[in-house]
Amino acid sequence: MSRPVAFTVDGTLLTCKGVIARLEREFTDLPSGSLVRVVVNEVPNRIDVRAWADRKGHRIVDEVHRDEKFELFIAKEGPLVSPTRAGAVGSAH
Amino acid sequence: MMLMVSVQNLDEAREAVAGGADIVDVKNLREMMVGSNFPPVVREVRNAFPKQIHVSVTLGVVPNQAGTVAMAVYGAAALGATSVKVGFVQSDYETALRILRESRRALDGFDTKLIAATFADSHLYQGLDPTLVVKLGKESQSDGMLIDTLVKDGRNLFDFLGERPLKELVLEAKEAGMSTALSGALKVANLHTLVRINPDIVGVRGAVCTHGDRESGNVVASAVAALREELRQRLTGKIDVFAEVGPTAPRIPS
Repeated sequence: MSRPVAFTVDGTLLTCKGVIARLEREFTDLPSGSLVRVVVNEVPNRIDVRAWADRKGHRIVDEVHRDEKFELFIAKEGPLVSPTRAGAVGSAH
Repeated sequence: MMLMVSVQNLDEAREAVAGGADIVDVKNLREMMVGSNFPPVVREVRNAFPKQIHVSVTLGVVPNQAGTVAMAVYGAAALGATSVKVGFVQSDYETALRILRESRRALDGFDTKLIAATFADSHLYQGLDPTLVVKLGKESQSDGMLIDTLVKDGRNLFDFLGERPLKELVLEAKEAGMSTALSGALKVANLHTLVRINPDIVGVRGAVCTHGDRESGNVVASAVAALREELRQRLTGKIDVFAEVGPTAPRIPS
């Protein structure tokens, strides 16, 4: 199964505002059903992202662990749709 | 998770960065233990490192004077600080909010981030409820929040606020788009709890000073590097910080 990814949030880049703050911002205007790839390299961030998605009603449709990074594919609550943003970077497996 | 080390001068800042600190937090321990340092010191530290090394400026516990604080915030921005921390103890909520809003206005045109700070032990001084920091941050459009402690008598952050309320505050702040920082006499022994709470920034000083003494000791690179490694092992799962609490532990507030 391959689904188009709207965009990637790279949580491996160290910034003061962490991945949850960025997901909140990025998901605000995202159409329901869009698929987003999130990359994190810290275990507590992986746990926080999963919990955040669950709390917000989004779905983790896949997770891959490779090269000491976790890739999580999150579908925004609602039926899956095609990506509408430029910069699609890949597909969920 | 970024590592923030409090420093008092350029020598300590160099040690902190050499040891792997992501943020050097310039402060002056002679002024209420968490006070402001002098502009030439901030300038010297800022000029010593590239922009990817964050230089934060603490204003410590600020007076209930919005104009004075806003001017100090402006000064920190003019010196090129990455962030400026405005802390409240004996301020009521409305006064603190007004000060932060004026500080926000003072930062117009600068990249410097505004950090609202409260103190977990402020009840010892009949001070502002520290858990109001997220509300304050949201209503003032601050970029981030910090919870620290004032007492430096061996007690630390977790003697005043537990894991669960801190986790809830951190999550609430993250979901509001703020950066989150925790500090307050934190040690290696606290890293398990800190990593479970998962703030964006963890702040230390005594733990990376000679003899573990935040006042008479100096920041040393080897201690910073050792703490950085301890943190890395927990963040990468090489040391499992969740094992001791079990799978049913309250990792996330309901």
